[in-house]
Amino acid sequence: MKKDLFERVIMDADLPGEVLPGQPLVEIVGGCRVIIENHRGVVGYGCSEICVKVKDGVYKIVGSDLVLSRMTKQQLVISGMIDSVCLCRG
Amino acid sequence: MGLWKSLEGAFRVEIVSGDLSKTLTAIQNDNITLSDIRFSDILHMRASVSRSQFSKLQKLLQKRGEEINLLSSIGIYWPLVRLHRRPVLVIGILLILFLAILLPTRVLFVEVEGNQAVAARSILENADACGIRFFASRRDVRSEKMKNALLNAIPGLQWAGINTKGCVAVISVRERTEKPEIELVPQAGNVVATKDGIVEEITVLRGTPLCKAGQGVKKGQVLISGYTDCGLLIKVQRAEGEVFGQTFHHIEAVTPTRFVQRGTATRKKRKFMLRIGKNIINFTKDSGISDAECVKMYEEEFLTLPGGFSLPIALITETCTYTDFYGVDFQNNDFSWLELSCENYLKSTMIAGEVLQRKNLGAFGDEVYKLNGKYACKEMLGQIRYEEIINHYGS
Repeated sequence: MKKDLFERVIMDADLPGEVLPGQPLVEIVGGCRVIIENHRGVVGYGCSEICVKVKDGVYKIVGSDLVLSRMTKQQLVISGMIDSVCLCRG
Repeated sequence: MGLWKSLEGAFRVEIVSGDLSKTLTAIQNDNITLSDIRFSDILHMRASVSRSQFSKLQKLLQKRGEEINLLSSIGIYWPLVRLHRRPVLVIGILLILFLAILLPTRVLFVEVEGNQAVAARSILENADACGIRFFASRRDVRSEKMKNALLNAIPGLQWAGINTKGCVAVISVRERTEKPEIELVPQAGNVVATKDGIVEEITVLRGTPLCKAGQGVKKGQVLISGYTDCGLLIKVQRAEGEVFGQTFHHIEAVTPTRFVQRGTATRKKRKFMLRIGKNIINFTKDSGISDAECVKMYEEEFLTLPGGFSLPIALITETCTYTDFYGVDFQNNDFSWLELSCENYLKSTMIAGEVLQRKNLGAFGDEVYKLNGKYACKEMLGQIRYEEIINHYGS
């Protein structure tokens, strides 16, 4: 309830969403690298598909020769030929 | 892998787990950073972990009952660790690097080119005096300074310059070409007799003959005069001609009847010395002065590099061979060699000529053989003698 209120204030004030703590942030760099911050772990993996759990659901990254280049508690870097990134809410 | 990560060192590991996603979640919750994660299949995963976090990861996975296999060590850290265990190699590499930086800035060899009459040694000594020597800095090699020093010190040089090619300093010189001196031949001269004798033949090419065949002449007597009386004036010229005459000589030669001859070698002795530049290090205790009966052989081997450059370091080997001496008598008292020697000596004193008759008389004395030889020869008597020219002031 408290978070919802905080989110509403942010939206009403027209502030960027990154300021919210724990808010997942996805960056795609040149079609060959995806950086996901504030993730909650890898739930599915393979060379052509990697599923990463976030607060709002699961990000499904589809491509070829996918590699987890770096994985820390806060950040996750996926390299390879990225075809699509989609968010499956659930 | 970045440079700092590489310097820190890392391990490539294989993780075997029934649920890799949960394993990854556990790893990230434990603040362990993995990189370059590749999934081989549903159970196997390969990843890189830093050296500092490897033990933490190992403990975590053992605690969870999962398997971790170490595949390889990656990063610059591990070769550096291996090098640290071999200090001699590290010192050698550092020394080579140091020399690779230092040596191109130094002169290691000095060569001289273009000299024929002037000795290279004197050029090198003067170059050394103005700073061009072994291990001199290439920055200090000043062509103008060296040229001035060399031209002042060696008058035989016309020009000098220096070029450096790598570690070799090449001193190029040009020598002063001396103009050939024009021989001033006096215009007045007589042909005079060199020895006492009887004139046999006379051929006059220029001048006035003052003797004739069959006439006895004394040493120093004018045979062909350069002065010709032409009536009103006297013509002065250089007399030319050939005067052959008969001469008589008496030679007395004495030789011992017994002599000493060197026999076979009895023993050899070797001495080793090391030459470094101008200094010689003697490895033997004695002074190096050998005995009279020793035959000395001196060999010097300079150390050369594969490029053909000679280093100023040489190994000197001095071999002394000791021999026996024994007395020998002339075989059958044959002294014909002495007669031949006398005749050869006589011929060497002649300008041109031959021995017509000889009469040798030998006699033995107190361990000596004495030869009395009388020779009748036909030889050139005439020799030109130039007149001395005196100027008006008598100098």
